[in-house]
Amino acid sequence: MLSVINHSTRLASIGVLLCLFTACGSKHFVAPPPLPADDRSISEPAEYELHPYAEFYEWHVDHQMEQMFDFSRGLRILFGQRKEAMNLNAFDEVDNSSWFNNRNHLYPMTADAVGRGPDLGDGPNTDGTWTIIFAKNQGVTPGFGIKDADGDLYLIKFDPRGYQELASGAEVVSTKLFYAMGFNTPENYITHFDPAILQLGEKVKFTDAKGTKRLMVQEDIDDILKRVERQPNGKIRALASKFISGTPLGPFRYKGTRDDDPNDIIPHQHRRELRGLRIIAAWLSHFDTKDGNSLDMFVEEDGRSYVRHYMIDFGATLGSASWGPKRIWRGHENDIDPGLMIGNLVSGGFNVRGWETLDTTVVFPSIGRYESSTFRPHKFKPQMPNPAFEELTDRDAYWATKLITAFTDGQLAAAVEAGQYSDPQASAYLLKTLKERRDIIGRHYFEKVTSLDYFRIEKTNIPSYQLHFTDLAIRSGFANNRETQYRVNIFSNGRQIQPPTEFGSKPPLDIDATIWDSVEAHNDVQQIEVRLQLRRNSSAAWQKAVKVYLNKSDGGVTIAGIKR
Amino acid sequence: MLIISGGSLSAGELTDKPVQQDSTVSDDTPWPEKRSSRSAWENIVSFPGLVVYTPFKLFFQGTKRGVNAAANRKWFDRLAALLQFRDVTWGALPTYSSRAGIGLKLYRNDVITEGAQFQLGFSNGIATPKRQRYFLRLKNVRMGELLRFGARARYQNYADERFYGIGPSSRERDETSFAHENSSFEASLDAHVSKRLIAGINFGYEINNVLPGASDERPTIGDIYTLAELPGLENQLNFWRGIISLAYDGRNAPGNPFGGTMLELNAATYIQNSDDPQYGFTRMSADISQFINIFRQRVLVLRLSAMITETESGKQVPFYYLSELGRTATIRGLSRGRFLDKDRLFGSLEWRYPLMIRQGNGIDASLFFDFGQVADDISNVAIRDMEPVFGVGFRIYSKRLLIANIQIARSSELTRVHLSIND
Repeated sequence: MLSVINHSTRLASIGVLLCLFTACGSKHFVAPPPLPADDRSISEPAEYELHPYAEFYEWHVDHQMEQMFDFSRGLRILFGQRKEAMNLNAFDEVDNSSWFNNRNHLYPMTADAVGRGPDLGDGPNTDGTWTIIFAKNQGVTPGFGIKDADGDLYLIKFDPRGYQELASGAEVVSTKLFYAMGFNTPENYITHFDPAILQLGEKVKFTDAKGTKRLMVQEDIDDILKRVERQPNGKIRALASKFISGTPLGPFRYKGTRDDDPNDIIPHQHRRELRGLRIIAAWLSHFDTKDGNSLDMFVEEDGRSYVRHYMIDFGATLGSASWGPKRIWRGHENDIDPGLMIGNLVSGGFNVRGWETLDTTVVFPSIGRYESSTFRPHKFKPQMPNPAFEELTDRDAYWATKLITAFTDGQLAAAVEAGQYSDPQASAYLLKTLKERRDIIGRHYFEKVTSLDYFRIEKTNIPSYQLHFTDLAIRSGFANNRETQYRVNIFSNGRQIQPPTEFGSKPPLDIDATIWDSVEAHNDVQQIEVRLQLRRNSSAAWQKAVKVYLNKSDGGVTIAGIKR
Repeated sequence: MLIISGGSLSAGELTDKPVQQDSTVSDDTPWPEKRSSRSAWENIVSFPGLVVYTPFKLFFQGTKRGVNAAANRKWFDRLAALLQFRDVTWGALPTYSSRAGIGLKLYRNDVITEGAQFQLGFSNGIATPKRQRYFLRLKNVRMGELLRFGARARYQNYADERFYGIGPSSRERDETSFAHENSSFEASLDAHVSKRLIAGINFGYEINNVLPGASDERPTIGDIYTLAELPGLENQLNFWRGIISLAYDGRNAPGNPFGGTMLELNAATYIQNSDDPQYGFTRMSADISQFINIFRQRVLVLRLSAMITETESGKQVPFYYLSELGRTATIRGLSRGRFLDKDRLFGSLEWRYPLMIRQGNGIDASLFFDFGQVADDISNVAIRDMEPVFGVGFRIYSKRLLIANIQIARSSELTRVHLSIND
């Protein structure tokens, strides 16, 4: 008897907790208020700087320990109720902000527009002289900061020796794709210049290989150029990254908010675009998603001064690690991965990781190591643990998948073309792999999360309306149109008001318009909840429903929001 | 009539303004509050964890600031340069071994000739401060294409060595203590016959003293044994030493071999420097290791080692020069000096597998089984008398060398932890 009581008590406790998690009892959908615009004028925040070693320590040690003691997070994980992102609108989308602007997945771009990306010009002027204003001799790749004849400032970065086009190509291709998805990126150009146009500026500071700071001399330029490959015509191919206008404030962090930016109110680890970035990073093998590869800029625009957040430095994406081809284990393991090491220890060596089976040969030096045979998007791991990535939910991943699968083959081809690869076979391979990885992501997450989306109401003859939607898996060719079945349940205030209706892939399906007669009005608005499910064949289980909330008022029927 | 139909999205059709933040706020509108990453109930649930973690958090935050400050001053880069991880002309390496204790090895590369290295090292025992070792070493000095010259001077004083008796039947409870002071000077010449084959000669001079042991827990050796019972107990025995060697190194990666063979053959002779020499012996040894890559750098390591000591008629072997089982390099899981006799045979079977691999550097784990025994004649070593040892180990290695090695071994007598760093 006692055990029964205990069992019941446990169940009740779990029920109460689940109720707390899910806010049970709320039947009427109320759209969340929009987030305030985050481009209000503020005074200039302080520059933030954290050395990569300290960042490494913070995310590998401090953050991991802190998570162990975060009992509420642990409970959420235990009950499969991870915290959803905090910057979502009623349609489970992300509003435009200083972080992200919805582009291709909501407002399809032309292939040309994808290929052009954020570029407003044609890159540095190679007809006049380039004045070196600083030099970068340390780090994985050498480079210069230059002012061209037009007075524009660029950071010039070079490809590693023996791997022409590798880093510059990856940087440009990824820039186009990141921009088309909605992220803020710098203008990155491929440029070919004659080294004779370089001239040393006045009092250029330089840190030599031994770490000594001094003024730069001509020999330093020669020394850097010795490490750079020339093309047959004597020119040098390089990546020219245009300086972003504004005042640099250092990187943004993937956790917390910036204290001195009152516009920054959502903890970064709970921003969907940063959580979903995990899937995007997986697609593009952007393993180096550390704070340092982001940049906050204090910009002035239309009389307002505010912080805009950029993703920068895509040289270590696709098959490139900036200094050479990517190591084969990148994307599969963190730099230090205690969990994996314990697993390997316990396995006695019989756990062979997928990447260990890969041939390490670099077939295309301009592409490096980028492949799809062992690609598992849900298992992608960046170089360093990323707090936002660790908060990823299925809904976040689904959202990112929408962004990725929105790219057509033609758009991807335009992005790859922007990389200016000289070997057609290399660019064909890159394009093929991008498509394959895109499709692997789509197949995985469109099966995991019901892939019905882009709902809209269309008025036909009063009082008739049509609810349109898109089955993203079918649109992308991952599911069969003929075998897919849909089921609709309609509820009002938690009460089913119409028996379930199943239909095949060829709507329309008529629903009695008198349905509104039995729906109570709240503040002169009637609301019904349309639950849409699907299954890919008649013997499969129905997937979790997408709930679409329709409001009817004097103005007609509108979509109030959706829930997944 | 509500009709549900399939359709496709057109740009901007999701809602009227689906993706815009609220831009109705004016400059006079109060700033919104920053959102908490936890709700009220989450704060309540997480409170105990917060209380427990706060001191750690403060520590970690302080450490992070320290790391940041040190990194910005390039202290880590300088330290890394010192610690051989960079290609620098000189540096320092911390060292540790259970026998010699903690120490430091200073080195300078490319002295005299390219590739040669000069080393200055010292170490001191932690638990037994009187345990100490100092050395000067010059190695790998090129003499033409073929030859490499080396020299070493070393002083070591191990104040707490153990002696259990001689022979395979020595008992653990008969443990005694002694201090062994040894000074040695040697010069070597190696001929690199091929990339993998090295033939060498080595001449040296050794000065030995046996002194009372530093241990308070064990009787000192002189209280239990007399000179008649234990050759080598007297002060001071000096020896000339000559060794010829042949080494074949077919391993595919010195720091972390996962294929190939390593073979070492040595013949040594020790001649006492005395008008009336009582001691003198020759010794031959063979040591072969085979690294078999079973799959994906999961490696089976087989090792077999034999040592034979021959004395000239009427001469003896000082007890501290007898073949020993108990050092890390022999079988693990025994006390140092646990078994001593003229000859020795041991082997080992080891299963190594990677825990983490990073561009040729990494961490691996191993499971091993060692076996071996000493005897007055190697033909008397019987399999049934072999001392079996089981254990696990972890190694941190770079492409070029083994950085750290920790092994936990269990024999019938004890569990022993061996740790070595850069040693």
